[in-house]
Amino acid sequence: MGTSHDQILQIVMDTVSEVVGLDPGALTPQANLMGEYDLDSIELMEIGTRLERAFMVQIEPGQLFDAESASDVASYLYDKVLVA
Amino acid sequence: MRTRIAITGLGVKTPAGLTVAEAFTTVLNGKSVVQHVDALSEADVAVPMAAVVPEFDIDSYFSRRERHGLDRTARLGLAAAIDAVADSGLAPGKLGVRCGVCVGIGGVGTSASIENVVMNRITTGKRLGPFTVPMTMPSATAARIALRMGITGPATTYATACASGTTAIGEALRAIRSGALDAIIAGGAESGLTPIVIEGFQQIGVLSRRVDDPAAASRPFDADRDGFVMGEGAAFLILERWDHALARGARIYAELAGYGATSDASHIVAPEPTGLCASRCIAAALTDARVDRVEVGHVNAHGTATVANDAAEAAALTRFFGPEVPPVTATKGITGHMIAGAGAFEAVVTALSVQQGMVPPVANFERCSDGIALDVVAGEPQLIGSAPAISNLFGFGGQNATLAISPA
Repeated sequence: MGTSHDQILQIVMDTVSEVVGLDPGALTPQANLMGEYDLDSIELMEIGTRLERAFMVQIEPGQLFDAESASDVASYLYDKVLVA
Repeated sequence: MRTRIAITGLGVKTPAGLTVAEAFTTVLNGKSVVQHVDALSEADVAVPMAAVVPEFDIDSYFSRRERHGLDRTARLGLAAAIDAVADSGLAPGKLGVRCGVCVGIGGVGTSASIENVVMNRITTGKRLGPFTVPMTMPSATAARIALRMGITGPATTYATACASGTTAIGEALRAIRSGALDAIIAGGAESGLTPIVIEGFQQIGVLSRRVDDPAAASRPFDADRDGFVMGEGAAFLILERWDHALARGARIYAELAGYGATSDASHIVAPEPTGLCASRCIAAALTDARVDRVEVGHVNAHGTATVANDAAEAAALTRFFGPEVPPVTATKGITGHMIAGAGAFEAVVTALSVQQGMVPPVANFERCSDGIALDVVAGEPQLIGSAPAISNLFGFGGQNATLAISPA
């Protein structure tokens, strides 16, 4: 399947937007998720659960917490999706 | 002198209305809002009817971010509490350590939430989301209200089955009297209109089977009653130490004057038929309120419309008041049984009835069954003038609670 990094990033951004309740346009890919958007750990897990469902992959919580930005999450998913 | 408790704010999200004015008007009109529920008949539930809270604009209550972790019980409860605080004129977000939260949760809403999680897990096979636990914990509504309102005093949850909302309000009265708190957001919330919850109640035999005529199904004290109808809803009251309310110039609807609580110690679901412990509960509330039985202007009965409850409650009322029982109303004819929401909403209805000297009629009541000699208000609201009243809630497990409410 031809899922590009940008397409994945868009889905990640949309998911972050749904969970933090901000318009997608108000988000930037490089912003620190916990710092910039005041995400707590349970919200980060909610984002992870939604992305697992969207991409049908299993995301390790540790990987999610290591990722600082939406862009990092997209890169992690890009590798997972390619491998899968 | 003993601490008096003022009722200074009201908020509701009920099948009878989304505002206090709308809901009380519906109650005064005496028309049931019980309806057929497609989702229940599609799930093959034998009694597919309920009293449902209409859709409301959740965007005006919760941010998109806030609503992920809110199940329907918490949404109804938090929205009603937000309305109550606004109605009281207290400043949300700054209520602080001298304010508390007391919430009744019967458990039906919790069961429904877990049912939804389990059904979703089975049908989709997908892993649970991280909000599963914070959303299904029984204390979630109380915690959410404290969080939203900036309340740093205690936020507690009471479970006494159908009496939970009443217990929460009564325990709030005691907490303010203790001197520890100035104000409490007290009430109850419940939403459990899911197939397994409804079927569970049906299997006890307590639900009305009048499925061909839902609006006539909930008929408290009527000779042809055959069970209760499940409802959902929430109501909250702002309770304040009297001098605290006066000092800030708050409007006072009525006085929460007394609280009584007893247990039947008789059966896990059936009421004790002679009404002995229920009558002691009424006596305890009026003693606490320093109100003599002859002063009571009306009774807002538990009145579920089950054969056993209404007979036992009539026995309790006759036992306590003697042959001269004051006029009796029962709100569940209109709203069905909102479980923890019921006691809270009925406290609101009782407070407004006392304030306005007007007792709402019982929906669907035509005539008392043999052996019940009560003056049941029917057809039109009854004008009774200014007088104290009681609100009874008698829960499964024989858990009884009564509030006494007096004119301000």
